[in-house]
Amino acid sequence: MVRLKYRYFLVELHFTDCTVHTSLTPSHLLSTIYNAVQENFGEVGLGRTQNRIKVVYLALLTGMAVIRVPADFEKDARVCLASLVVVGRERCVCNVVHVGGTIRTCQKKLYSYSLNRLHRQMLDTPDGRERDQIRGVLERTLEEVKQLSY
Amino acid sequence: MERFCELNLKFPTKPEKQDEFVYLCGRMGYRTIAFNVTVDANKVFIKNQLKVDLPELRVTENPTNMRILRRLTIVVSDSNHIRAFNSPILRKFDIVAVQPKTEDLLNQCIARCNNNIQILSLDLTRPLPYRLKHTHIQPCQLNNVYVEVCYVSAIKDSATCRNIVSNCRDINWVSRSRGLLVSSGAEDPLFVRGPYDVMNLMTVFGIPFKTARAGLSTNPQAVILKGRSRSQTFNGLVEKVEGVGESLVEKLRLSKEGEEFEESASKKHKSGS
Repeated sequence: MVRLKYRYFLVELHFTDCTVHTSLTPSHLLSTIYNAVQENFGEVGLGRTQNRIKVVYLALLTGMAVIRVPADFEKDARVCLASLVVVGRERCVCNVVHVGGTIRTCQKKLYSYSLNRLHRQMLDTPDGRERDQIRGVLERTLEEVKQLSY
Repeated sequence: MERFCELNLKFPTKPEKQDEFVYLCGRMGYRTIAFNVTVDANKVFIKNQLKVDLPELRVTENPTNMRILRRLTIVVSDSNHIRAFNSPILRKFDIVAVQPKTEDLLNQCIARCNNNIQILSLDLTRPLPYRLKHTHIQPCQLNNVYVEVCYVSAIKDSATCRNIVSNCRDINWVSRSRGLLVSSGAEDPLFVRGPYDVMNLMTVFGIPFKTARAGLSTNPQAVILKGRSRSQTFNGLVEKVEGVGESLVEKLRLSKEGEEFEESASKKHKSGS
């Protein structure tokens, strides 16, 4: 009945160059978000979100992250994510792809988003070994997603 | 499918940066972008005309078939510069915007623009030196000039963020939430934000969600059409379409409608009407 509700943001991080930034950890991202909350919403904002914001998932290879925030802080959290300019020591852009009430919806969206990206990449690469490799990965992933009944 | 437009990206001199802008804006979800060149009218006002170099678009990769336009922003500080809005070079740009420095100049620019301007952009990073009123913005709406709000300085700096939020609230009040354009004004591709993030940002800044949505989709499209009617049509009535000409006339002649039209035209000619 009275339950702490959260919102889960599926977020894509774009960096200046295409290298994988292996030095970046979830704690870097978390501290950057808390700094943004303090800058935009002050001590009151920090109080509302203390120990409630969590980086649930971070994949550096694809630049995708899932961030949990309290439900009543959803709009303000989105403003904080939009105002992120630097994460760790890297310049980056944070683009919110999906907002959901559960991790499961974010997971579903992550699958479809990643599959779309792979598909577009396959169409962009010219015919050859690389294109076949991407096609193989796509087919295997589609089968796995079907088995998960998403 | 909604077409989101980003109409204020600072024109990058390096061609690689143009590609970066196109790539990132495409990934964010924008379908039309405009590269902006800002000029000070004092420096380019020569013999009652504006002399501006038309910038070159050198985009090599456009995977999302993004429409790329050229925009000019004229910073006006003297009322003599307004007569130069008729300059022929302005027709080469897809969109023309004006940035007046004082209240008098704002009124004069809008009253004397004569359909040459599509956007009014104000410097929102500082508190405006005059109090914005309905009487400033109503002529804009009557002349189909859209008022622009740029959000990039709010992301970069907290002091300017304060000013932008207060100016946004004033603009929303004064314009009655109509006729607004939302854009970034970004120098670097990493300062552009996705359309839904921008709408949320504007909601927190005081511009309602629907107005922000219109400011990103329908209003920019109206601005682009207005720019096109200014530069490529005669008073919005007649447009020269290239590549159609004789082939269309041949088709008409060979089609049934063409034959009927010719018959009726010849009958009319015989009856002398």
